[in-house]
Amino acid sequence: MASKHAREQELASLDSVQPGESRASLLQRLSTWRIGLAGLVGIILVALLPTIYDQIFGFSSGFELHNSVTMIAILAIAALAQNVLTGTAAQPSLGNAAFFGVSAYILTWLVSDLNQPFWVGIIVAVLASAALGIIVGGPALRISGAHLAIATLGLVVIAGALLNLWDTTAGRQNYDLSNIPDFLTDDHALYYFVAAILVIVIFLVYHLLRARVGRAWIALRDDETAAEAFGINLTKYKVQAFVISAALTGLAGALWATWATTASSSMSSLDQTIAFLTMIIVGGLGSISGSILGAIFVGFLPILLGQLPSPLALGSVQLQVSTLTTGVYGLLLLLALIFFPSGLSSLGGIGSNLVRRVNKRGGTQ
Amino acid sequence: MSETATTSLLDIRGLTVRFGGLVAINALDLHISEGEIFALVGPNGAGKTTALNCISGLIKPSAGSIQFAGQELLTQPAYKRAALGIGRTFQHVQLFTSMSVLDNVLTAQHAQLRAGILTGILPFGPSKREDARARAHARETLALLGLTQYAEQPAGTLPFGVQKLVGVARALVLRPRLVLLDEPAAGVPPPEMDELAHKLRAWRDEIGTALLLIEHNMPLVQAVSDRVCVLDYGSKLAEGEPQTVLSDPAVLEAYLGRAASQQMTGQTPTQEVSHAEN
Repeated sequence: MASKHAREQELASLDSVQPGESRASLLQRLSTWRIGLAGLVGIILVALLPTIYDQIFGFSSGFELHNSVTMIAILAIAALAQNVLTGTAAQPSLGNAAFFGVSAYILTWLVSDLNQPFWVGIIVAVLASAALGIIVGGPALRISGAHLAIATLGLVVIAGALLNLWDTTAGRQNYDLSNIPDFLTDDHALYYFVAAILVIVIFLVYHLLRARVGRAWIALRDDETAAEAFGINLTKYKVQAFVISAALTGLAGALWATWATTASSSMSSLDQTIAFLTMIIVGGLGSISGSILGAIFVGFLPILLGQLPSPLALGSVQLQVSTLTTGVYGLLLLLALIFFPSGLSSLGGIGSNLVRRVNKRGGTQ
Repeated sequence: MSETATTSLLDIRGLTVRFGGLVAINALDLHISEGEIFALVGPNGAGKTTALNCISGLIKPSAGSIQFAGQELLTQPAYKRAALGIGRTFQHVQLFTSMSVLDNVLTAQHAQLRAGILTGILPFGPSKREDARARAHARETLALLGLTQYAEQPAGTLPFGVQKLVGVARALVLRPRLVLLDEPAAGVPPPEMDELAHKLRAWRDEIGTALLLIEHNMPLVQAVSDRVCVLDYGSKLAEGEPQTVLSDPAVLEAYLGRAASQQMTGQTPTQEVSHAEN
């Protein structure tokens, strides 16, 4: 029954078939192990990081690493959210920063102004973001491609302006989040809290992408026509991607407000959108590890730039370093798109390919 | 085939498709029986793929009706038709190229699986059990097509012939009652044609599905099909047993035009057609 034709073609295209087959399945099993192992090592490292850091630098050093890592973990949640929508389901929506900002304001409003418990605030903020995702996602998906990108970017600017207007009419400089539960006011506790949430989010997204829903998203990214012919309701799955993404971004926004102890209208801005985009493109489209690498990159860059003397004198030009960040993101976005469109996460793949090739050569000799 | 003659699986009546001023299909009637192998032939632009796309819902016809197993198809959105028992392949294969072969065949079972976001997000429970069954089912189908050794490879990196077979695996995995095959022989070298004909019949027997194929390769059509319909400029030119239809002078003229009339005496015209198309 097996076609002679297919076999011959395969023999022509791949040089060693039979030994390769068993080796491939072994490699596969190994790589599953490796993912589990990497996850475990990652979790242990994350758990020990503050302790190790304090051991080395002492409790009151100026450069507070775990504080930055908390921020990066929050960014990683936002990056995962953008990557599910853009990298996996192929919807070039730039609207996530709007959910990021609105969620932070909802949490702050509920907790600071209405004196609701913090947990209620977080849950309501996430649910409200998901609901906004449906309201915005439904109509937004009638348009596609660049039109979708521009329309959703408009959403970000409008949301930012409205939040700013709210601040102005309420006559406040900062919208501070008070009434945070006591244990989260401690940097270390907040770090563990956010890290635990990130681990859970990664775990759930990993499984979702390998389940029926994730396959449907990848199918509509690879070939919409074929996806529809094989029973995938395109509208439904695009809206679902929008909602999941909005809910996760809302979670990130609420955590960000908790971390910064304030909500700011700049969370729903062009700069924030560019930061989100940079994370997934520099990190790697459609890749979970890429989202995390991208978040580390985007999170650390301002810290590194902050090490430069400010204002920076280039000849007669004086540069304010803080204004450089978005420009550098933009530049890196372009460079990544041109030189390694699969992002930082593909560098690992290139490395393991090299190792495999070397192994193979060694094996055949 | 006495029982298949009485039950009509697919009933197309008065199907008309207009693209602006162009009439791509004009009042087409087609009836395909359960388990039948039915070939749709005709020159390029005759409306064959358009007809197929109407059945799978990718094109909305201007008029007419398509009944499948007694149900009106045209009121159903495209994505619901796979669940009704219609599978298809594409002229340009159109695999989900970033997925493995196994995942392609798994994704093609979408219509028969239930897991949504809330169950799919968990690493255990109904979603995983359902997936395990679907995976086993996908492997069976891959084995039927001799594709087991490619299961874990990314579909986009495989040679064209293998990709075509993966396309067939995707179409067959739900054990549909009707499979639409858009040019299964395109790109298959002529010496393999007998084997392909044999395989088409074997798949039909194994799955018990009707096959509606669009094909330019006349020897294959003659070898494999129970009935043939010739389309020309969107209208039916002839229909019936392959031997009678394909030797019809009107069909030969429509298909081969002037160029072939000179060669009519030489090689058999059917072979000429396949060379012209390849």
